Parts: sequence; C-alpha cells; structure tokens
Amino acid sequence: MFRFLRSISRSVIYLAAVILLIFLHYIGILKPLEDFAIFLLTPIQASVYRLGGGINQLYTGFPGRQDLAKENSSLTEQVNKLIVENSQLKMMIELNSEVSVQQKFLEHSGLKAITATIIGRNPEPNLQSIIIDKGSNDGIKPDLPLITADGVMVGKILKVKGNSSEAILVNDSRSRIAAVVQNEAGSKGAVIGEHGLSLKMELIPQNDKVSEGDVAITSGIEPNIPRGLVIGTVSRVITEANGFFQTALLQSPVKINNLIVVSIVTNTYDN
Amino acid sequence: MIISALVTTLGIILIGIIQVSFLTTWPAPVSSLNIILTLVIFLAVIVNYNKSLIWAFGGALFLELYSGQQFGVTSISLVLTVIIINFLFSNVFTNRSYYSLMILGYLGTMIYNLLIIITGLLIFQAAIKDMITSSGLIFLFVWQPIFNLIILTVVFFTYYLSTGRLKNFFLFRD
Repeated sequence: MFRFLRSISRSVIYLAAVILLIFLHYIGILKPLEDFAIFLLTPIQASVYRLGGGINQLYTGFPGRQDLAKENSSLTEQVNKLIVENSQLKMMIELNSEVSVQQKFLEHSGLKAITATIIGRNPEPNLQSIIIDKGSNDGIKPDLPLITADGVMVGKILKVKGNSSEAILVNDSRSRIAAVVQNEAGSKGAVIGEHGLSLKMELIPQNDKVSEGDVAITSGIEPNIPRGLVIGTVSRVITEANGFFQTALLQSPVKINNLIVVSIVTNTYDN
Repeated sequence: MIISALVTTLGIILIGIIQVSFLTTWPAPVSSLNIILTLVIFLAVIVNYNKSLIWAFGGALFLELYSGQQFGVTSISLVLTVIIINFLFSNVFTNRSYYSLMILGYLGTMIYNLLIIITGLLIFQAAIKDMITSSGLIFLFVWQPIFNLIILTVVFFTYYLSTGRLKNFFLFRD
C-alpha cells in the first residue's frame, strides 16, 4: 500500500514538473537555457548527423550496386545541373523581357545566402523537418527559403531559436509554396508535400498545357521567396474531367532526405 | 549521488543525440524507431520505476528542443506513458518476463503515439491533421512498434546475459 502511494506521489511530482516546465517555456524563461543547450550540443550533433548520413549512403550503395550507384549519382548530378542551368536560362529570357528589378538569378542577382549545416531531423517520423545550426543570431527568420548549392529549393524556415532553426522540407505535408511552371502559359499553382514521399503542384488551371519534364519554379509572390528557385520537374499530370484545375506530380532534382548542408536565402530581389 | 546524476544526464544526452541526429538519417521505416521510448519502457518494466521516470523526464526535455510539435506534447506523452506502463505492470503483468516486456513494449508504443495525437489535439490544438494520414499512421502504429520491440529484445537479452538477473522469471525453469 505504502509502495503504491509512493509511486503515485512520484508520478504526480513528475507530471507537475512537466507542467511547470511547459509554463516556464511559454513565458520565455527557459529560452536562454534552451539556446545554450543547443549551442553546446550543435558541434556533436553535426558530427553524428554526418556519420549517420555516411553510414546510410554506404548501406544504400553497397556492393554489387556500387558502380551503378556511382554512375547514377554522376548522371543525376549532370541532369540536375542541366535542369537548373536550363531553368536559369529560361528565367533570364523571361526577365530580359520584363522591365523589372528581377534581373539576375541567385549570385547574378545579388541574392545573399547563409550556409548552414544540418544537425538533426525532427524525431517524429511523419514530419519532414530538419534542424540547422543557424538561428536568429545569424539573421535567420521564419519563411526564408532553403536552397542547395545549385539553387534548388528544398524547404522553408519554420521556427527560429537563437542558435538553431527548424526548417520544413518541401515534401512535408505542411509545406505550401507558390510556384509557376516554365511552360508557354506560365501556369501558376501551389506546390504541396506528399507525406514526405513526393511533391505535387495543385491549382493549375485546367486549360494550361503542362507536360512531363516541365520545370516548376518559385513564383516570387511570397514575400521572402525570390522568383526562379527550382522546385522540381513534372513527372506526371493528373487531369480530372469537369474539374477547374489539374495537378502535376513533381520530382525534386535533389535527394531531399540526403542533405547535409543547405543555404538560406536571406534577401529577395526587392531588398 | 552526484556521479549517478551526471552519468544519467550524459546518458540521456547521448541517447537523445542518437535519436535526433543519427537514427533520423536512416531510411524509413528504420528511422521511425523511438529509442528513448524503448529505453524508458525497458527501465519501467525490468529495472526500476523511478529511473524510468527520470529518463522519461530528461529524454522528453531533450526531444522537446528539436520536436516539431508544440513544446510540452512530447513531455506529457512520455511521462504519462511511463505512468500507465507502470500501472499495467504492477496490476496486470506482475512478473519481469520477456513476454511481459514485449506486450508492454507494444502497448507503450501505441499509448505514446495516441497520447501525442490526443495531447496535440486537446491541449495545444495543434494542426496535426497531416499526422493522421495513412502513411503517418503506418509509421506510428506499425513500423515504430516493430522496431521498438526488436530493440527491446536486444536490450533484454543483453541485460539478461550480462547481469544474470531475470533468470528465474525467463522462459526456462530449473
């Protein structure tokens, strides 16, 4: 009986402690402690993350498939470069025809980016978000876009702490990006993540002709996201009879789940 | 006492780093393994309730730093899971056998994931609509229990072989 009562009192104490911590967190008292803890742990986590990624890549390319994997990886890299280059060229043609401040793309346009290392991922298996080692102290703000070295958009900043930030990846179901397809009609729509598995672009007008291989880029109507960042290529188009809109399934040119380093674009063409 | 607290803190940090920065880099569904939950269930059933509460509290705090959920969802869910597991163990299962551990491991994983959803909905009214999708549910209620039970088996046999305890309770009778 005494043992039972003691276990109940312990349970109550721990629950009370949790509730107290939640209270302290929401009134902001814990923030410096949380930031300090993340600051201390970041270097270790970055190393562990790289180690995990390395082992994972060894496993996925291990033996028999090693040569094929290498060749595939090299070809994918080439295709990615060509897609981005092609998209940039199209953008430049488009930009040249407009009287606009949007005259350059990425480094040509004077976009500034901060490079960040991924130190972890959201522990919940069904949420596709990463934790990076840069936060508000480095000038990171919510909604800034994440790009890879070759300019492919892979996510958006969700929450910012002093020394770290959480970024939602484009394939997360919560992700919404205003996009435009580089086709004749310049079809507009919204790119949405599909439970961490793929991307789809919705709200494309039914009459617009969208074909496989067309490239979807950011539209630039979101305040912090510049126009022209490549999101993915159209792999399939789903059209429903009598519908107002069609949906395009997209494939990102990069392996979103294998990222180690990302860049956060901190300014847009406007500023 | 101080050394024990230090060792526990370092242990929690180590396991937390493995959970957040190592396991999450692995391909799905292996990445759905919840090693902190597994360890906490093992401690509650095999070792000691108080230790499991300490690990649940510390582990949850670590996970909160990196969780995509609202602050508090993980802590409340993990601590409540330990309390429920302890209640079930004390009143229903009573002996420290491999079978008890497996059943409680499975129930614990289910209870934890249900609590995450319920706490998010009721207390924080978080937008967890996306969580309740077919693929999300498969990860939470199918793959995670499978991998948690595999790890529980490994931990159980390691503990059994290294300490020699549990012998009278486990499978064979002299």
